[in-house]
Amino acid sequence: MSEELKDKVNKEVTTSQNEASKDTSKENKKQKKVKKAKTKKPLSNFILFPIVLGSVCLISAGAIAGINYLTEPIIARNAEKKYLKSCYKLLGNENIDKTQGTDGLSKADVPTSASYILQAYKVFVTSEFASAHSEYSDFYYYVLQTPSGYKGSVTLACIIAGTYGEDGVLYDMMAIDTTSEDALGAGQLQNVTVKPGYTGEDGDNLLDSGYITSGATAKVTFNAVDTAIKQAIQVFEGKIIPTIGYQKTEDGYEIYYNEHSIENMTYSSFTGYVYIKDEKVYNVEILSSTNTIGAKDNAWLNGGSYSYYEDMLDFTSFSNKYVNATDGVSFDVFSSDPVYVAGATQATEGYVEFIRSTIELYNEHHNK
Amino acid sequence: MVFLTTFISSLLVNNVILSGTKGLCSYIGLSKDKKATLGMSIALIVVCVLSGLISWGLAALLTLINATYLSTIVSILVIASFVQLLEIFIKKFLPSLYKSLGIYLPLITTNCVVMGLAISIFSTYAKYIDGTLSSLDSALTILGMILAYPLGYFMVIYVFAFIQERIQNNNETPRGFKGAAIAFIATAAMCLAIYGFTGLV
Amino acid sequence: MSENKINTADVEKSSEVVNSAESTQKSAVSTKVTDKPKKVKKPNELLKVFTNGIIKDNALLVMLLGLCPLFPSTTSINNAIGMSVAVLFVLFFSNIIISSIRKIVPSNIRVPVYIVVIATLVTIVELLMKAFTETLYEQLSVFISLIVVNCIILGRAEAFASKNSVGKSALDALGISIGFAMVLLIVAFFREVIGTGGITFVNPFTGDTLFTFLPLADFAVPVFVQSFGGFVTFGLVLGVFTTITMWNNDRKMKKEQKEKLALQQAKGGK
Repeated sequence: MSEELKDKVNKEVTTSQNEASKDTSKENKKQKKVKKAKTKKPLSNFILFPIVLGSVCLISAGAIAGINYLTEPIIARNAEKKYLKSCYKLLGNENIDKTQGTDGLSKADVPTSASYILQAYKVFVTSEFASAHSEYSDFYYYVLQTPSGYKGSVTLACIIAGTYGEDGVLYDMMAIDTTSEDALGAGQLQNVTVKPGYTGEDGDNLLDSGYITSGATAKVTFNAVDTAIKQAIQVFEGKIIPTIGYQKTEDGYEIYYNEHSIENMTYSSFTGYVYIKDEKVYNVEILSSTNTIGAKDNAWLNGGSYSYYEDMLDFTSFSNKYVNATDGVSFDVFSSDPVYVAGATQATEGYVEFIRSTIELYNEHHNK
Repeated sequence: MVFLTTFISSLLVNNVILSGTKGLCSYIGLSKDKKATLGMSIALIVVCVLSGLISWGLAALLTLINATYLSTIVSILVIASFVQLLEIFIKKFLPSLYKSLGIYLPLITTNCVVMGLAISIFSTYAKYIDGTLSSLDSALTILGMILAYPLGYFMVIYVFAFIQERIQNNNETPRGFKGAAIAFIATAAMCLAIYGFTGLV
Repeated sequence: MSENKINTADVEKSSEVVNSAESTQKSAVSTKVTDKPKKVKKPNELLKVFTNGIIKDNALLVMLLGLCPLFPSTTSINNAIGMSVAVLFVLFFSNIIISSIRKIVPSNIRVPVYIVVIATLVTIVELLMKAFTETLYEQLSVFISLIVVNCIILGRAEAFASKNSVGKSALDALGISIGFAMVLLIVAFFREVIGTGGITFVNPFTGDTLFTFLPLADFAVPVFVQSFGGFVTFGLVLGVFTTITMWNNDRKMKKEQKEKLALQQAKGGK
């Protein structure tokens, strides 16, 4: 025991001796430094402080900007890919035809009035899956942000299946992010199983529909989920008017809302609706046009008043050539040069360009 | 309405100490002395309100020059310099207040509550830029947070000061648990009480 | 006999040292950083610097600094490992950088300079985590940014890195981070096992579940994964640790007193 104590004591003595010797050596060094410093003139504090601080800040900002430049594309890609994973989980990784679109998905229109929908994609499924589920012709994948439940909202992924533009049912759903919602509702949502078939008509309730099996009820959360799913189904069925995009009426007319700008002297942009059915143009409704002359609302088929350049457009003859409400005018009429109305050449050009760009929208929509 | 929702939610449901677990270093260190808690809370309210507003402006500025990645650096520098300025100001014009606050004012620089508030403001502003929140909603949310964070802190730490009196000078507290350990366990009991507010807003 | 004289004098000095160590341990519950810079260049001095941060000066259990990131990151072992790596990165590089510029920076503006350096490192960690470990970043979100006001990093920069060489500061950073990680893992283990019934490992880079082992899932107490569980678990771990340290110190004191008594008796006998 005393040996241990002796060792400890010796250590203490040696450390204190070393400290003492180090102190003296440091003293010598300090004196040398002071001597050196006396010969140099120190920089004034007002100059030195900003220089040091400024240079540190600049180096830091440079380093961060560099790293940001490297990681920003990766972060953007992650944000997009985040939702794709849930789609693979919902339908089954092997059922998605990844050769079409980007990894089997392609973006679909989302009307801006649909406030709960964050992303919308059309899913390309493999032919085996499609034939096994032949009653559904289209599968669309929506990422929804539900309204507030108990405590927060839920980010939800769902698949709506059916015929796009006509009818759709909820095929499956899955909660992506439930961290802000209360544990009761979030837990129930994560353990839910869904049977396809919920149509989401007004007055239906997801919990009572029989298509959901879950443990105890968490009504508030499920009502919020129901609201969001109903909106997704309505968007799938084309019942919500898009501000840019497409709506289908009951007698089969597709109404395209378009905004088109051209480089033109008199008319620079048009906004309006074009009614198309079966590759024929039936009606055009201009809501607004900006031009250097003056804007006017007009409906071609019902006549209307014009600003003074538009007066030169003989409406009846012009409209008879280009728009016919009863029979419709087929697309190839618009592919050739328009017959210009004297004095309103650019106006004619503008109107016809507007219709042409809407025809492009139609083609894009139908070739998807 | 949004203001009230955010305010009550940040004050009770998502209390900054009991639910968000921020500001714990000063919470444990200061809660033994009631006067200290009062002083710290008042200082924190002042710093939070003013630096919250400054962070809001900074968020707008950084978004303009498209440099949101600088948010952490800029916030911490603003808070640190702001606390320093406040200290000088209080020392000169309100010396009695300075004496009672003493050391707690510089400690606010490393307080997670203020920094957490700045970060929340930045992310709410980012949501406004995204389009998820309207401008009025985001403004009211930020104002609600600015007021609710320090008030929530004050509420909890003041109540806890009374609790600390009982548990620290108690003979039944085991020797190894006296001090921080038993304080944490008591805080856990307060957490259970706060859970009753779930689903309020 | 002269040998004995030296021995008793030094014995008293050593018992004083032990007493002062015990008193610093007793006042460990206050939040002061009281670390003395080591000035001796012995080879096992470096080892001492390294092991200092693990038990003796453990940042969380002894100095009670940097408690804020403890609670949300111990909800699962995955998050604990993630947070430990982030803190290790920031602490290691900040110690090295601050230690290498310690002679250039005038002492009046050292605090803003340290803050800028630490904030830069934290922003870099944040961006890298957002890009490469998306799922981990979502769980920890705010608290990675809050590392910048973590008292550990600023405290070590102020107390150690600004006064010591680069090598020693690096070792100190490693030691403190290992101590931090140890506490985090212990608390996370208990919280996860009681809160979810077992252990789940998730690959942080892709988010896929690697390994699930939930033997007690039916008995899980989910409230342990929320803030209540954090406070309770950490309070118990802290209490147990302090109790063990106090027992250890008591034992040492008793030993010293016994030896002192024996030596006095031996002296008196002569």
